[in-house]
This record gives sequence, C-alpha cells and structure tokens, in this order.
Amino acid sequence: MRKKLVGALAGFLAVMLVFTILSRAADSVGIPRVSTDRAGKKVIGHPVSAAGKIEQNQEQAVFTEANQRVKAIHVNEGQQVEEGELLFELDMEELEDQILTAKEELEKKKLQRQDTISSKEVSAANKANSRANAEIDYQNAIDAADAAIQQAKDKWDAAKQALKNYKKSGTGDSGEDSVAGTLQKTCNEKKAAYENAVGEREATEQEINEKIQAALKENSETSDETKSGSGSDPLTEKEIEAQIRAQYQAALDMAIQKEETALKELQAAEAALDEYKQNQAASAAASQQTTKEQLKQQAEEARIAYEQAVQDKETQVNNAAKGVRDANLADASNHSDQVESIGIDQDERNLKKLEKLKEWGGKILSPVKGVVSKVFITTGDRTTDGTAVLLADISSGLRFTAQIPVSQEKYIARLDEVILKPDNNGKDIQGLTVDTISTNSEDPGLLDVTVQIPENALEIGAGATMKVNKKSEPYEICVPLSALYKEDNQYYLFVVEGTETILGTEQTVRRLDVTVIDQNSEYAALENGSVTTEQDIVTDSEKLLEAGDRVRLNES
Amino acid sequence: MLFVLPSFIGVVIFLLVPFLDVIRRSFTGAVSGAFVGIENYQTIFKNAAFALAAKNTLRFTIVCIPLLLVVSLFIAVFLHGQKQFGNILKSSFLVPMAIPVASVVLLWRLLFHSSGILNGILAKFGIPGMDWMNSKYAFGVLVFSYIWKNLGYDIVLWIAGLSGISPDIYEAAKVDGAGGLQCFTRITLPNLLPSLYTITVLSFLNSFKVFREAYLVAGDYPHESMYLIQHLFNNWFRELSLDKIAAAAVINALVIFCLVMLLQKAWVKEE
Amino acid sequence: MRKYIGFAILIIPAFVACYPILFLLTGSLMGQMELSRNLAPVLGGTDGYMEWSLLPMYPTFRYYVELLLDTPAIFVMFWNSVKMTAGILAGQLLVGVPAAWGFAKFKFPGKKILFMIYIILMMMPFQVLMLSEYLVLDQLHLLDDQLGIILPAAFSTFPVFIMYRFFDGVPDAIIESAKLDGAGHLQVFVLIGLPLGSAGIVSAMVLGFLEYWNLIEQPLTFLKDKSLWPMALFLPNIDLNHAGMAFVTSIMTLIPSIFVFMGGQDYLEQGIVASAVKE
Repeated sequence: MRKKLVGALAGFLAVMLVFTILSRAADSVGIPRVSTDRAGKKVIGHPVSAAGKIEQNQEQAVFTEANQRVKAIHVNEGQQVEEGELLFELDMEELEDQILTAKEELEKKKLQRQDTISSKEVSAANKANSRANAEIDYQNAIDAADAAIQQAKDKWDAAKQALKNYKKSGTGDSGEDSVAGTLQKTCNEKKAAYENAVGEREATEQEINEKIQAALKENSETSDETKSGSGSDPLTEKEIEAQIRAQYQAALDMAIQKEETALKELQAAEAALDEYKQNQAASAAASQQTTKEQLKQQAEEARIAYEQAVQDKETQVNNAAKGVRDANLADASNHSDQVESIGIDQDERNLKKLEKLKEWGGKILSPVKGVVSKVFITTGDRTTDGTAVLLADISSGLRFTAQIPVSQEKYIARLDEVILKPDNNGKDIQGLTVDTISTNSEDPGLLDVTVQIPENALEIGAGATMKVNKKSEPYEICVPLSALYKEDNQYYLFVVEGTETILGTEQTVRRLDVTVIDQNSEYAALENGSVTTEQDIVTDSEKLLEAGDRVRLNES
Repeated sequence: MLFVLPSFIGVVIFLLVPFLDVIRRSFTGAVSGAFVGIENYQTIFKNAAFALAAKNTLRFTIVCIPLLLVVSLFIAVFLHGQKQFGNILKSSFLVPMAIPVASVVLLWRLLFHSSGILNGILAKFGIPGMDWMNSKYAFGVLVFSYIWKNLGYDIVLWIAGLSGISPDIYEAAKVDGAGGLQCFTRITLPNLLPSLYTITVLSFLNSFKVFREAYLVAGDYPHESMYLIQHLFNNWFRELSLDKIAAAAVINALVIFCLVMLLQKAWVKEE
Repeated sequence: MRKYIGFAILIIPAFVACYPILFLLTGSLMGQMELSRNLAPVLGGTDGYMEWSLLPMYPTFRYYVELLLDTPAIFVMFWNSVKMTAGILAGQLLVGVPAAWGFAKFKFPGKKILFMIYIILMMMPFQVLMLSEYLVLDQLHLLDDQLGIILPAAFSTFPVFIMYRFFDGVPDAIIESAKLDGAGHLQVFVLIGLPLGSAGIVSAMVLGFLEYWNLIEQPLTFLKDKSLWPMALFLPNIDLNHAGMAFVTSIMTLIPSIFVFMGGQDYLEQGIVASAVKE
C-alpha cells in the first residue's frame, strides 16, 4: 500500500515534470518572434517614377502652294530627314500651266488698271482748275478788304492827328508872343539889377564886420600892454564897434538904398507881365472851344468807318473761303486703281512663288533636320492650304514627357533633379531637371511632366523611365513602414515591453496609436512625442500581433 | 536531550523568542517603541472592528462546535461497529480534508453566487434566492463550510472514543434490560465525556482554519457577518498596525492557552 | 432495516462531502461553449440561475491540453507548491522525528514544561504568530523567499506531538534489551524507534501534506513576488471568465492530495486519533 502510494505520487510528479518541459517548449514555439527597431531621425525620400517617351520640343510644318498636284512623296512617317532632303515633288506640267494662266491673268489686270488710271487723271485736272480759281477769288477778296481797311485807318489817323495838333496849339500864336517876351525880358533885367544891389549891400556889411573884428583885436593887444605898464583905462569893445559902425554907416546906407530901388523896379516889371498874360488868356478861350468839338467829331466818324471796313473784310473773306472749300470738295473716293494694283501685286507674288517652285523643279525640301511625324498629302492628289508634311525638329532639342498621378504632385517640382533610365537598357542619364509640370489636358487626374534632355542622348519616340527622389526635412521620429499598422484610419504600432509575470520577465507588446506625418514606401515619420527613441518597436513579426501578446525578440 | 535540541532551537528561534518580542511590543507604541503600558489593549478593546471580529468569532464557535460535535457524534455512533459500508462512508466524510481549499473555492463561488447553483435549486422549489455571500447568510455559508470540512475529522475522533468503551459494559447493560436509548445516555455519553473535551478543543482549533475559505471566497473585507478575528489580523498586518496586532495576539494566545489547559486537565482527569 | 434507513440518510451528506470532486471533474471536462452557457448568469451575461448538470454533456480534454501544454505559469505554481511542501515535510522529518523520540523515550529536567510549551505552540493559529514570524523573517532577510515559509513550518511542533504519541507506544522492554545488546542511543533510535514508529511518522506526514499543500496564509503574508506563490494561492485569482482553466487547475491541485489521501487514509485516521487519545 505504501509502495503504491509512493509510486503513484512519483509517477504523477514525473508526468508533471514532462508537461512542464513540454509546455515551456510549446510556449516558446507559440510565441511569435519579432524583430524590433527604434525610432530615429531620418530623411524621408519620395521617389516618383514614371515611364514616358522622348518627344521633340518643336514641330516644323512644311507647306507648299495649294492646289498643286503631288507627283511623288519621298518620305514616310517616322523617317529621319536631314536639312535639305527631298520631301516630296509636285507635278511640273501642272505647275507650268498654272504659271502661264497666272501670267495671263496678271496681264489682264494690268491693262484694266491703266484704263482706270487715265480716266481718273482727267477728272483730277478739272477739279484742280476750279480749285485754283476759287483760291484766286479768295486772295482777291482779302486784298480788297485790306485796302478798304487801310483807307479807313488812314482817315482815322489824320483825324486823330488834327485833334491832337489843335489841342497842342490851343494857348497862343507867335504874334502875341513878342509882347510877352519883351515884358519878360524887362522883368528878367530888373531881377538881375536887384540881385546886384543885394550883393553890394551884403559886401558892405561884410567889410564892416571885418573892420570891427580887426579893431577889436588891436584893442585887446593894446589893453594888455597898458594893464601891465600904466594904470590908464582901455576902451571897451562896444565903444570900438560903435566907432567903426559910425565910420561906415554912410556906405551901408547907400547900399541899402540902392537895393530898395532895384526891388521896386523888379516888382513893377513883374506886374506888367502878369497883366498882359491875363488879357491874352481871356480873349483866346471862346474860339478855342468850338474848333476842338469839330475835330473830335471827325475823329469819331473815321474810327467807325475803319471798324466797318474790318467787318466787311471778314464777310468777304469768309465768302471767298467758302468758294475755295467748294472747289476743294472731294469727289466720291475712288481707289479702284489702287485695288487693282494690289490685286496685281498679289498675283505677281503668287506668280513669283509658282515660278520659284518651278525654279526648284517642284521639289520640296526639308527645312530642318528632323523626323517626319506626319504626312498629310497623298500622291496624285492636290495640295491644300494646310500642312503638307509635319516634321519633328531635332535641332531645337528633345524632351522627355511622362504622366504621373496628381497625388504625387507634392513630391515633384520644377528643377528637381531627374534621373532618366532609357528602356533600351542604355546608360542612365543624370543631371537632368524637371522642366514643366502641367495638368494633363485629357485626364485631370494626371500630370504631364517634361524634362529637357541633351541632344543626341535619346531618339525621338524612345521610351524611358524617369526617377525623381524628393527628400524631406529630417524627421525626428521615423519608423520602418513595416512597423505601422492601420485600423479604421488610425495608425498604430506595437512596442515591446517587459512585464513581470510568474515566469519572470516576459516581453509583451503594447499597442501605441500614432499619427503619421509623412511616409514613403520604406519609412514613416511620426508626430513628435508619439514614440520615444528608447522604445523597441516591432518591425517584423512571425504572425499577426494583438495588444498584450507575448513575443520573443529575434537575436540581432 | 540531544534528540530534542535541534527542534527546540528552531522553536526558540522561530516561535518563542519572537513571541516574547511580540509580548514586549504589545506594551509599546507602534512607532516610537516607547513603553505605553496597557494602552494598546485599551485601544483594541475599544476598536469596533475588533469587537465585531471577536463577536463573530465567538458566535461562530458557539454555533459551530456544538453543531459539529452533535452531528459527528450521531454519525460516529451509527458507523461504529459497521464494517465495510461504514468504512466507505467514513472515508467519504474524510474526503473534504483532502480537497484543497483552493479547489473548493471555485465551487463555493459558483454555489453561493446570487445566480448560482444553490439559488437555482431553491428557485425550483419556489423559494426566492438570495445573495449568500453578501448577506447575513454569509455566516451560514461559513458554518456549512466548516462542518463540511471537519465532519470526517470529528467522526474519526468519536469512533476512536467509542472504541475505547469496553463492549462488556454494553453487554452488562443489556443483561440489565436497558434499551438502546438508555445505553446511549447512560453508558455511551458518560464514557465519551473525556473525549468530548479533547474533541471540543481540537474542533475549536480547526475552526481557526475556516478563515482560509472565508478569505479565498470573499477577500479581505467579507460581509460583516463573517468578519473574523483572522480577517482583522490580516488587515491590521497589512496596515502595519503592529501595536494592535501585538496586543491582540497576546490576548488570543492567552485565550488559547486557557483552552489548552482545559484540554490538559481533561487528559489528567482521564488518567 | 433501521440500519439501511440510516445508510440511506447518511448517503446524502456523504455525497455532499464528496460532490466537490465530481463537480470539479465535470467542470474541467466541459468545453468552452458549455461552460460559458452554464456560467452565463454568474458572469452577468443573462438573467436566471446557473445550471449545472452532473456530468458534462460534451466531454472534452481541451482545457487539460491547454493547461498542460500552453500554460507554463501553472507549472511554476505547481512546482512552487511541491517545493514548499516537500521542504517542510523533509524539515519536519529531520528535526521533528528525533525530537519526538527524545520526548517519548528520554527523561530530562524541564521535559514536562517544554512539552507543554510545544503543545501550546501547536495550538496557536497562524494569525497569532504572524507578527512574530514576520519579525524573525525580516531579521533573517527571508521575506519574499520560499525558505521563509519552509523554515518556520519545519519547526512546527504539531508533527512532534503526533509522532510522540506513536513513539510513546514503543515498548520500553525492547529498547532495554537492545541496550543490553550494546546498542547506543542513536542505534536504538534508528534500528528500533524508526521502524516501530513508522506509522506515526507517516501519519504526521500525511496530515502535514494535507495541511501544507493547502498553505495559504503564510505565502500570502510573506511572499510578495507572485512567481513564488503556490498553486493554492494562485487558483482563486483566476477569474470566472477563465472558468475552464480554473477547473482544470483545481483538479491538478486536487490530484496529489487525493493520492496522499487514498494511500494514507489509515495513517490519517491514526494520526487524527493520536492527537486525541489518552496518554
């Protein structure tokens, strides 16, 4: 019994031991291995690649005269042609025929024009005649009017002069002048005599004063001696002056007498003159007034006549001018001759073109080096106004064009660097830049991108793939795209965390919702703060993870 | 003496000395360590939780132990003397001893849940169910759990007691014309009296272990009708109320010491 | 006739006593669908009452496989339990058996008092000693260590007491004659005491196993690290949403106990009796 017990217990424990190991093994097998990485700073590149074709930058259209019969076409679409290479030929017979017809037509027109010109000249001569007459009339009218005005003016001037003269001579005539002159002369003589008398008197007074001064001086010298020598009294100054005045009183009185007489004579002469003048003035005044009135009247009349003349001139000149205008009045415009000559010019030009064509032998050559992209004419048919042959102009350069989806618009910009990989496994062409980006005319969901390519690098129509790799600013938090999951528009990733469990520290994953700022096919940039750079982010897992799953890290 | 020494050293180190330390601590403050006299004892006696826990524990003891003793005695008397079938039944009653508490907790939770099995059965008889674990019936659950677990133990003890009674006494009684009931009351009970003390004390000690079920089913704070001294100890311990624990431990130890003395007395009396 | 009625009556409580085992077995064999349907009212899914059939409708070993193969954590718990139980029992054998022999067959001063102390300590519930144990383990830095559970339990006085009962029953006469044959104390213990007291030792071990396999309070108090927990403590932490797991784990916990119980039932009874019979 005891053995059984021990045996059963031991067996049970052994079974448990086996299962312990088994479960551990099964557990570690069941746990998905994951690779982890840490978020880091990265530049996110956005490669844009698109297949496209090489095209010409420019097309050159080749025209020729319309309505020519095409004899032969020497090129095919897609064929490359050199400059000056024969494109197609026109039928010469037809051409010559056309030239002939054109020449005849031209001749006809020229004759017509001559007729027109001659008839036009006749009417022009008539017209010139009448115009000259009118002009002469006009000149005559002006001259006549001017003469009338001049006459009136002369009259008016004379009247004015007469009035002026009268006004000037109004105070006296020459006869009366002699009486007044004599009186005046007398008066002047008397005045001079008076002034002499005054001069004599003043000279006398002067002399007296000098004498007095001299005597006074002498006296003072004497008195000085006396005072010092003897005691007798000297004469006073007043006594001396009085002495001298007494000596010369007679002379002075005589001079004064003479002066007074001269003054009386002068006053008499002046009075006589004044009286005469008053008499003269009173007699002249009455006749003077009537003459003046008459003169004024005449001047006024002359003035009115002048103004009348001026007015008349205006009227007459106007009339004459009207005549001139009438004469100049144009006939209905008549350019028929000019029109005809324009038509002739055109015909001549056409003819010249045709002749040139003939000169070339009806051969149309390629103007540029290029590739025939389209032939619009057919052999045997007539040419039209339109393009005959469309050439892709190689000499103006080639470009690569491709379409990209509009969604990639933000990843490409003008002047971005482009690498072009030819489809025929040629060498990559580097160092190109995006030339234009424009919305596709047919599909608004597409963008046309063009890249200018160097000459001779690729042929027209060749296929190539372009690659543009736009680099972003460096983002702080970037994770591999494989770490990112999406559910209901919410991005998330798993971070590995150590969890304490009964079995010790276990690695479990925790879901972390994040916001993606930018991403390309390899990496995604996350909003700062969503993940730290210390967290281990699951980048790869053996099986689909769920939050809380246990994982094992791949040894790396 | 040498044979006892290793055990004794261990007992001293792990049990005696620390318990003495606990007695010392019961007179000191929790933080300061200063002597505070019987303050801690006063504190816990005033503590409502302690009063509740002590009351519940006492109530539990008073209800459970007589119940267990009587039930197990009857079963033991019946099984005593029955051979094969009796042994099988006896083993069946012992099985709960072997069932780990942890295993049975699951059943208890499902059984006594408000929409659990027991209420389901009651509903079939038209009796409204109740939330057993969160009402005053939680106490009943506790009692049931205790009896379930210890019935076998007590039956074995009773049977052992019964075996100690000489069959000759019964023979003599039967000769005297005593009936079955008289035999039981006059002979069986008096002769089992010494066992009664022992079994009572052992049942009492086992009653402490009912805490395991209570704790595992209902946690730290079960319904107040089953909040036992052990819960209180546990919670105080977690709160690091060392002074209270120390004092309460000393009181508990004293109570148990008295009971053991009773047991000892019973043994001595038997001698 | 009365006997059969008695049996009939007793079968019901006996069935109730054993029913948990059946219950756990049934639960552990149910599939996920059946379990969640049955448990729905308890889990709050639907109204009404939980239903439970005696036997599973569609038995499956799915949860066993899942537990045994997919849940290494359970095994950590299981071996924790085994480790602690084995450690404690080994310690008790090493220390307790000689002590019991010493108490039973030697006379030394203070023996009565000492034995009294042992009995008193044996009776103390864990909670009373919780604080003192904690203080010691703290001093020895054994907190959060399984040794901190094993050591105090190894020095438990209960097995000493049980074994003492059995060693006490070894007749002194045999020992005396052995001593006369020139055997020393140790030889007597090994050659005579152990074989004759083996029933007591096994009894103590069986009781000890059932006790320590159930250990809850000590690890709960002293072990903070859940990876050190025994199964008994872990099990209640499984929530009902993983009921299948809980059932299987319960069965797994139950199995060793049942083995020990079935193998050692006689010893168990002897042990129980030994704790009570007269000296």
